[in-house]
Amino acid sequence: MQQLEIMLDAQAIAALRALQVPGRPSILLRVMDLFASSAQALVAELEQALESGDLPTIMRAAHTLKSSSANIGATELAAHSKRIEQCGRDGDLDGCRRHAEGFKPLFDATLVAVAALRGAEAA
Amino acid sequence: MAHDSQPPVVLVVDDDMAARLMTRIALEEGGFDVLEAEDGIPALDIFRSQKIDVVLLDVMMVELDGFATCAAIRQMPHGQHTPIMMMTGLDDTASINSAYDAGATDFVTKPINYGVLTHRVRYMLRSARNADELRRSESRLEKAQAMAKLGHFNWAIDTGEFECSSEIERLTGVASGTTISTIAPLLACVHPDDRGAVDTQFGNAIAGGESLQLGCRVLLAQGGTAHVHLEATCSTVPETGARVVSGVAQDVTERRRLEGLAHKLAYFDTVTGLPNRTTLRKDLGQALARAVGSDSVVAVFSLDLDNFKRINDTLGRDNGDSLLKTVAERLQACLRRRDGAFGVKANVRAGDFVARTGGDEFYVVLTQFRSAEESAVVARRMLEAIAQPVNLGGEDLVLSATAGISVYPVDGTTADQLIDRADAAKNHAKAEGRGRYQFYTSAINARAFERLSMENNLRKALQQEQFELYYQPKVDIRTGRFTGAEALVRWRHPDLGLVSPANFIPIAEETGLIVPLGEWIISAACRDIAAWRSQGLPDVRVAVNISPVQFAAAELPLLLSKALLAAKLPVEVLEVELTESLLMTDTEQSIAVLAELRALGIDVWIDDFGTGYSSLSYLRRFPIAGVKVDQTFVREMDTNANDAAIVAAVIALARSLNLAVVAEGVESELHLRALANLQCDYAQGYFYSPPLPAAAFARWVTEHRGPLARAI
Repeated sequence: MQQLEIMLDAQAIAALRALQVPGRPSILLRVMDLFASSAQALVAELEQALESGDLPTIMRAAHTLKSSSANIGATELAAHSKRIEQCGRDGDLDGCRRHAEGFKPLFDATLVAVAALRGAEAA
Repeated sequence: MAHDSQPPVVLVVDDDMAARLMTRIALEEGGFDVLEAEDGIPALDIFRSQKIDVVLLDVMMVELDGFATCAAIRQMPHGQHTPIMMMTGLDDTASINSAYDAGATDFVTKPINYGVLTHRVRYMLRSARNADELRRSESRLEKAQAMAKLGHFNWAIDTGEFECSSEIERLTGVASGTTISTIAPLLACVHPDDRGAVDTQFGNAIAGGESLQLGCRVLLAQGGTAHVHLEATCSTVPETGARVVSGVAQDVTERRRLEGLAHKLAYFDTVTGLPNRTTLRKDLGQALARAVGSDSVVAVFSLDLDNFKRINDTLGRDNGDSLLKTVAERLQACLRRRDGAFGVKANVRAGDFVARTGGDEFYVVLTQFRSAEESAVVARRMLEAIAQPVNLGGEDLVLSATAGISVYPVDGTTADQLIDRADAAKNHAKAEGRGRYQFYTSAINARAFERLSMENNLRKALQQEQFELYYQPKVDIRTGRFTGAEALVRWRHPDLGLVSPANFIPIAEETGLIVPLGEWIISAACRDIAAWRSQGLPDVRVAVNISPVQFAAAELPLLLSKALLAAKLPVEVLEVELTESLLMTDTEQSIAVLAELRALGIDVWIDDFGTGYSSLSYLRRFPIAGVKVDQTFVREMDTNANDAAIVAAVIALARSLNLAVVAEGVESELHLRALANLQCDYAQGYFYSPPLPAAAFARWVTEHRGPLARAI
């Protein structure tokens, strides 16, 4: 739980829960599922673009990752994505790559936190 | 804008599926319908095809980003005012600015607080609806103001800021948004004559913080003058102490024009521009009110042009109208000449005026006379003025007029009394012979009463069919055989008994009642003839008398053929008798009608021949069957040599023109013999029979199938 709290902002999770209407499918589950599937594809896209030096794709993937992680309260991941996006915007490919170094472990940790939250919610 | 019963529709455009999902959930929870698009291009497709009340737009999208999408929506006709919320990063000021530049209504920062989002959207929608309502009410106001030619303005005196609607811009030439430190730029458009008054009133209103209402003329930049009604108030804003003049102005030029036109149509004659009957009565009433207590008299002249109807019919209405204008000018000139006896050209005296009340009826009101006799001088002068030749289309025409005069206070004290009595005097003058004037006297009034009662009686008589036809036989002098009859109208009044035609025919002619009476005579004669036929009598040829008035008014040939048709009679059973004076008045027209009658097969006789002009040349031109010699000559022919000579001359004349002759008033065998010697064709008179009612006449015809007494 310690890890979960670090990775996912409790307030954001509370806001998602507040949207829940009793008797309806869990919003939290659906949002987490959507994040898990879309973010993994985006991260793969981002990695490939970093390697090939495709700045526009880097920027756009980082931007989307920024907002979708912010959506579920993954504040750290959102901040990291934002730094990559900013470098991409500035045309600084090296900066993008530098920031990308710590990105993958953070993303994985977030996914673990999301999976944990899903498990807790489903139970 | 969504209908109240349907939830507003929000279009969410975001390429992040999770973000769309959460936005959808939040909005649906808040009572909105949600449509989703993952990019700008499909978003525009949806916007084009569906009714969208609010758009939530993400900035970063692959195909078409949020700014471009927003700008594209603003370009669409129904997307101009749709509220658009851009979803941007909190720190991204550049994006926020770009969002507004692209036409976004509001922005929300990511990550989105979904709990608050619905409230933001709802608020945005409400303001959009208010703005929409405001826009529509402004456009309604603008339209209403444009229709009423109404404009409003606000002028902050201290700062000089001047704001106004387009109508004020049009009137003053001062653009809204201009700074005006003094009133001078606004005054510049006011007509110089009104400028001082407007300046003063504005100054007072500003100084005293009051309202003002004024009318003034405005010289328009595009040319022309407008009449403007202005209302304004000067007030002070309590918080700031700033003074503001605000007001409305209305261009009332068209309204003024129409009011003026309506006034003119209601109170003045359109042909001559003179006062009409309404104005005559009003102005005469005022003149009388002024005369009360003074020893001056007021004279009312009622004037008719003689034979104007004929002139109008002959020369056409345009010429008739120009003639009326000439008469109007001449009468007015007479008013100016009133004081001109000393060789000074004077103005029309206050209170004196000429009016035209219709047709050829004029009235002249003269005030400030010392005696009634003075008005005779003016009357003579007016008749002389009218009698001056008028050149109309290259031809000189001489008019004459008849006038009646009534005088206040002796002949009456009210406008209506004086007008009626001037009319009565005029009618009396006409009866005495046209082209003259006549003062009102009480005798005229008595006569007018008698006439009026006779007229009323006549109307009633027509309704109640108090008339009867009498028939007097005509006999062929050579064969002694009966050949026809003249129908003579009699009026059997329930109280007065039989009234002589000499007493009622002139009044019937004056009042026009002769027309329905003539129609009655024609159809009654046809009815009688048809009745005799059914009794087995041989066809009787009946001559009906047609009055000059009837000849002019009715379509005589049509009238006769209709009556014959209604009674199923052949055309030969009717004949027409006309007086010769009739044929003198309107020759061309008369010949046309006579030719038509001849073509129909209806014989026309000239009645009372010898009493009028008896012009040979006229007789020759008219397609007629013959003449009837007036009974006054026949009756005296055995005792009066002159009469005998006239009868002989008429018969000789007629024979030379191949016209047949009927002698009326044949009372003795002596008459008959003399007429036979003169080779007169037919005789009518007491010698054979007096005029008989229809039934008695039928008996007479039966009893006289054979030859009657013959002269030879």
